[in-house]
Amino acid sequence: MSVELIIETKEIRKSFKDKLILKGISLHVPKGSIYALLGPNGAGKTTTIRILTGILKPTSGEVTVQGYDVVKDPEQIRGEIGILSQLSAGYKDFKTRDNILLFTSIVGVDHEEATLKMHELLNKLDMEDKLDLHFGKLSGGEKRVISLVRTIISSKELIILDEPTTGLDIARAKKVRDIIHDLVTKEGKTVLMSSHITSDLEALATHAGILRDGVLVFEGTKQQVIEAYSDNGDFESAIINAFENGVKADNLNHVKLEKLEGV
Amino acid sequence: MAKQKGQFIAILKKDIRLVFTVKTLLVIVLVPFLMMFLIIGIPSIFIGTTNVTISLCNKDIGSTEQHVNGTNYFINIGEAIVYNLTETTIPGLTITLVDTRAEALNASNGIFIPASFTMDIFNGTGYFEFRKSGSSASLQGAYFDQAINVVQQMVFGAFLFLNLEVDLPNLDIIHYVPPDIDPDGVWSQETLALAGPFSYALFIMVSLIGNMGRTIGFSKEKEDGTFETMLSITKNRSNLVFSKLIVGIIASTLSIVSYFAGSAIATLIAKAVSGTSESITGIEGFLSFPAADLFSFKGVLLLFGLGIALVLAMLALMTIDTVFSKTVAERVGTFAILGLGFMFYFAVIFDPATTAIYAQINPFYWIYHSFLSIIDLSFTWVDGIFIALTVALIAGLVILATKAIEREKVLFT
Repeated sequence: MSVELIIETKEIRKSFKDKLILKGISLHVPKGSIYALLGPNGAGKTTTIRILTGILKPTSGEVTVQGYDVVKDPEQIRGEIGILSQLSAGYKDFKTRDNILLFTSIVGVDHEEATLKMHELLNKLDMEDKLDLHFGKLSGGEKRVISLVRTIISSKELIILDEPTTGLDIARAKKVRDIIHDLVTKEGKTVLMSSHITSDLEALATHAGILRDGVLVFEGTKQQVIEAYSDNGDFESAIINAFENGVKADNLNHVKLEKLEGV
Repeated sequence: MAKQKGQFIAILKKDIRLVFTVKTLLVIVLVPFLMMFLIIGIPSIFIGTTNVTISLCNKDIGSTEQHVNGTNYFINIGEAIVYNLTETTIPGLTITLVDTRAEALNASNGIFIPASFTMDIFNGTGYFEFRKSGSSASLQGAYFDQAINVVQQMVFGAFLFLNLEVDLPNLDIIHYVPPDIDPDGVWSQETLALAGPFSYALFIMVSLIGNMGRTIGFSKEKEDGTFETMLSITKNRSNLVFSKLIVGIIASTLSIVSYFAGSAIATLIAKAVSGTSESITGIEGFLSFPAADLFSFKGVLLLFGLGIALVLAMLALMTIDTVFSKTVAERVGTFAILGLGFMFYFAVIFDPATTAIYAQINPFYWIYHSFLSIIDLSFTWVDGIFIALTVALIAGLVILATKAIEREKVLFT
């Protein structure tokens, strides 16, 4: 069964000075999926995300995102993807609404459309009353939500979220998960997310790629991850096992594109 | 292309809002205004005891003149001036008698009365020479003007004494060319008079921009964590540099306007305090430009020169921001700009026409020297090299900043 891919990388390697951070990663992210990029701290997730978004250039390898060659022509992809970085970035002296609308205007989203969407999302997240507060006055979790809302409004087909629910309370994290789920199921977008929060992964992930020490040790559907690494059918224990006992890069040949199932 | 243009405008709007907050506006606009206001205006009100020493050389041999009643009297106006200036206590004035014209006119403040002074006065064409360092807007200048008043009083007193019912003589006051300036210097005295205010304004404005670098450049973006986001959504990253540069130019223009507004108002205050009746257009100050001259060819050129210096300072800050880490950039950037600004001012403050090596290696000196030469219409090949170096440096910094922001290193620095 052939799957349409929105992200495809071939053997990407990345080294900083003499240290090899990514050791030949080949990712396959199906269109319309929620792809969880997993791995212990320092596995290379953030570096991979930065390469996919054109912020970093790989030392070698090929990267195709939404049909664009990101290595040769990174300008094409800039502004096309909604990106939530690890930092809850925002201008402290600007009001919340300005922090959202300034960024959406830079990526070319219509002002009225962005305003409408902003109210809709913040209403769902019970944060409309924060619109006129300065970004610097918000709590860490509130800043995270505002950054996420800005990312969602700015996104087109693909959204990349680096730990989207970090710092959120349980209730708000649940609402964020619902919103992410709706983005895929109702709006047909694709989400690539990195997270350490099991409840997010359990609820959202349809596919997963597991990184360890700069090596993609496994890639497949959520079910395939469970089958490969868990005895009791539990996704969390499968992830832990994968982190601790994942196959080495040399043995990764068995992970074939055909094994990926469409959503 | 249209999409990129739209994105650039959106980035520019963002940067304008980022820089022009109430807090930064206070620094950009109010500080230069208050600085000049306080430096020139307020001291003139409170500091009333600053003395000015005038070197006085009198060579007047006097003249025998006839009273209206027919009696002949020997009159020596020069001696009367010396007596009145030395024996009468005039607040703020200290008189030192010197022997030669050169000694008088080489001093910071000096008056030379020629041998034929009295004779020429009664012939209707008397003159004397003086050198005055401070402008009439400064306390020094105002005190000096009192000595000039004494000279005039003595001339008129002599006529009153002889009871001459003729027209008062024409007293030509010659503002002497300072003779200690290198005669081979390329600039005229008129241009040299502008060197002081120009170098001071350049130093102050560059220092201000150096301190504002964190807000105008990328340091604040890095601190707020928005830099990575901006890098990931900006199609052409050079736009990030150009947008900041435009905002910096707007901020600098506001600062320059504020600087001169503060200077002009303070000068008016100083004039009022010193009690001189000269019009504001005639003021030549050490710190302030002649107000009306700002709108002349020379004034516009000097303002343009200031603008170029500020663009250079901002580009240097932005390049350092994109090449070095946030912490290093904040230290190196401010230090480099303030250091260069201070070195420049130190080099020219004592000798405006200096050609010292340590001055010539400073980019701000290139701008200072070449613009004053253009104003003076004495442009030489050296100035051509300075302009070429300035243009090359600006172009080099633009290229370096726009290239550096494309490198991945910028994210980690």
